[in-house]
Amino acid sequence: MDERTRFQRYIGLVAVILVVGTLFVIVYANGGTDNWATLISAVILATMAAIALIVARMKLKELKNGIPSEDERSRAVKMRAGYLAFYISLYFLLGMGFFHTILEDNQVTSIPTSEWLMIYVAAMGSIFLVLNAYITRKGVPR
Amino acid sequence: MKTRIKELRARYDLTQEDLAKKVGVRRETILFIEKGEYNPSLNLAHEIAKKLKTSIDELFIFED
Repeated sequence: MDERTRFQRYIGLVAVILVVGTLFVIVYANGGTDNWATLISAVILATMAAIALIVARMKLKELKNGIPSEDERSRAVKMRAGYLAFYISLYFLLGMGFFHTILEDNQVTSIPTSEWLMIYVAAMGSIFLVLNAYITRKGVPR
Repeated sequence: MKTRIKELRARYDLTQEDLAKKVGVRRETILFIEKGEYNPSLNLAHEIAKKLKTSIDELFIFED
């Protein structure tokens, strides 16, 4: 796959994510039950859009200068970060399960499972991003 | 593992970015190879050696 196609796919993927996110915020806002959740969702979406814009500008600059968006080292970094994030998030999920059980046992009203799931997905993504940035700087361990 | 990439780059007046473009990788990859913190694939090592007009044995110094 050439670099231009890769860039176009990135833009396409970002557009799909932002459209789905916007629909989610609109649907949530029309529900009218939880204004804070709507506001937080909108802030998260705006942050994602801003980050995507910055990354797109960087990628476009690299594309113009003939720098590949990824190479064998960056692929190795992603693989390493992905596999570590997977294991760490499994423990995180286990911890969340225990925490949820304790809350239920003590009859403390907790958030719905769907929201726990969203927290888990967000945590998994964040762990991957942090590890990716760390391994990119420190190098792939041998 | 040590490398002579930096020395040979200087000989041919190439920056890390120039060499990276010639072999089709990102600049950081060359940086990490030079620092001995990343072991390149055989293909990439061959490509770098070719661009610096040398051989893989000359370019990389393996330590026991």
